Amino acid sequence: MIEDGKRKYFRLFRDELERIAVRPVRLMEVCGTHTMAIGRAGLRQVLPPQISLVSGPGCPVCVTADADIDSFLGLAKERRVTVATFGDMMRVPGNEGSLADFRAAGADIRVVYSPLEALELARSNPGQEIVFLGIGFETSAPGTAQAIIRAGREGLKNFSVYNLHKTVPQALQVLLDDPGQALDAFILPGHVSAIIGEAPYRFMPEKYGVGGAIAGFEPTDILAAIARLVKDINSGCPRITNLYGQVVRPGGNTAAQQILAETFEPCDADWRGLGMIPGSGLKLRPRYAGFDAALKFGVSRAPAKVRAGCRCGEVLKGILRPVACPLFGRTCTPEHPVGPCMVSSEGTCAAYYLYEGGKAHAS
Amino acid sequence: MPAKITLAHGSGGGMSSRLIADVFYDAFGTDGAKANDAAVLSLAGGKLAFTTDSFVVSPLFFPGGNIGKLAFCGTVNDLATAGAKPVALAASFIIEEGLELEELRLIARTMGELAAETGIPIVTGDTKVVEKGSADKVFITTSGVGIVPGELNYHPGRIAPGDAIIVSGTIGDHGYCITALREGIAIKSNVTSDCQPLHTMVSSLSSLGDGVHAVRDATRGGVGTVLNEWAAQAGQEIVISEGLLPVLDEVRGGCGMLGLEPLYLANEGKMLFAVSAGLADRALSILRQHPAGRDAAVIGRVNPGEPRLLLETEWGTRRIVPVPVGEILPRIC
Repeated sequence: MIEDGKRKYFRLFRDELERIAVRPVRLMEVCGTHTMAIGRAGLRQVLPPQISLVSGPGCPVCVTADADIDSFLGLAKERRVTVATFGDMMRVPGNEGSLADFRAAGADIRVVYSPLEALELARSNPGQEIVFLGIGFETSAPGTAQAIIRAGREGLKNFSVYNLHKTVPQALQVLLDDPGQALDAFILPGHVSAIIGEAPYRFMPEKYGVGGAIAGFEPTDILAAIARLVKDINSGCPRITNLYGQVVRPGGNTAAQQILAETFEPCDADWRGLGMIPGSGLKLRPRYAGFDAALKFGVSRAPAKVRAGCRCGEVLKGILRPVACPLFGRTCTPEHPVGPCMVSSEGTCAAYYLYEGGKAHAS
Repeated sequence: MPAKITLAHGSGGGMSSRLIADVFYDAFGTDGAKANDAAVLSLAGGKLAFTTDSFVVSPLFFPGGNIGKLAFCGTVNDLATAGAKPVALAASFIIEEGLELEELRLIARTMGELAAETGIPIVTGDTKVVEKGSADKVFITTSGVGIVPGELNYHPGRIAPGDAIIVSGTIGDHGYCITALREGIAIKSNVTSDCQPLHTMVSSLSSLGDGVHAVRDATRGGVGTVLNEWAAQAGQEIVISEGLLPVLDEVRGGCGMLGLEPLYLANEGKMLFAVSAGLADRALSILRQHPAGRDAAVIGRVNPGEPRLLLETEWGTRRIVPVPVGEILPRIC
């Protein structure tokens, strides 16, 4: 049962939105966890029609480029390594199948809940090469960094990371640079912000005149953020507000930032749908290069083969609603996903399919 | 070194006979002198209910039970969903070479104790031993027969608009307990499996006769999956309310952390009932008198409409509860 207090504030924000939503606004929730929370609580049903929510590129699985998916699938299939991965990656389709398919065919693939579990696998199986798939934003990168630092200290030779970590603010800049976007404000990710703090978003109001609110994941938190953003839009004062102060400190988590700085340096990264974004990736610093699985196993990045008709890219940019994709609910379903937006538990297409009656739209 | 199962235990020779006598006859209270290849049962009048189920679970032992308890209760509960009074069970074991004999003995004893407590004997069975790697420790298949008294006819096809949907207690306990064990590094849990026989709880509702329309144990796939199947079989819409779902706080919190839905977690000791609207209160008060039904609650209703399962959220909105896709939790029941 939710507490009465939360329910009361939920109603207050809902009523406030009814009053203040005086013109059409287009808000993007950047984070996949927000997308799922919005769908799960059915929040669109209580929003005034002037407010439209579009989903952004904040699901790490979904923004992984096809070329990268095929490269690590190749590693899982062809080398005698044990792949340790978060469960979300298991069903992501590559050109020759998914990790789940490869596991069924005999590849050694383990689902872990943290990179430290992968490290433990390496310790307890010294004869076996363990490769952790490092996927995720600033939230999960510190865990990977910590595992690498420990592996370094312990002199573990059979642990490495296939590293695809990315950073969020650079992707937001790409969206803001896109004239087709017309976004009025952003609901900013709570967990990522807990690491990086508020400062990395300041360029948004300063350079682009677009504000953002850092929000928690309860339906009431999300409504509060929407109300804040609509008020700022109405008053013409875009800014970055932190509405998740109990978790997000203005300066972020400095210990995590230090670990990241010690282990990684910025690099360019290829995002599904957004393309190559300068400085949006995290590359292992030279002193940790021995833990880079791509170098260790000489993985060459397969040329990108985007599956025919898949429009995940436009969905990730918030240009295309999932139901408008010709594959949605027809050839692309959670059972047989064509693109990663349908397979990830935080994917926009999966959220629409599960919670927004997307299935009914499609059939 | 503790005694282990070897391939010789499955040879059909003397070691096989000794394994069967020492472990199974002993645990099940079987009189070996009277044993035969087939059990012969005397059945009272009525319709015969017949069911079978296979059990694979890792780990074999968990808080609140073990694979033997699952195998016994699972088949008893399947019989109960038809309104049947269970008469007897069969149990077959596929054992991986190397399993510790003591573990097998514990599992068999649990089953024997349940047979004694419930008065439902295990009357026939089989064992096979397979090479290491060909099975995961032990797999158990149980089959059961029971007698359906009088004119009882529990079937999802009888679910009708207006029916109340009742669950017999907190949901997701078993699935959560197993997940917490499997992912032991990530979470510490005090939740125990709800694995228990439910046939006496179900039969306590027989006084409502025709008013009980359908009964199902919400095992693999959980309440969300069973209610989706009911909606499809009945051709009606089922609406449940998030605020009415009985969920332990720890299960709710842990599910939030692990990205799981209690609605999809397996239960091994919970029944769902579809009952005529007018009888819902009586059904609830009968269920709550039974130890397995103390937390029984009405969680929703059946509406005329397209076959689907809807959830009224605690925020005053509605959403579809889809059938879960793919692997939720591998091998939990």
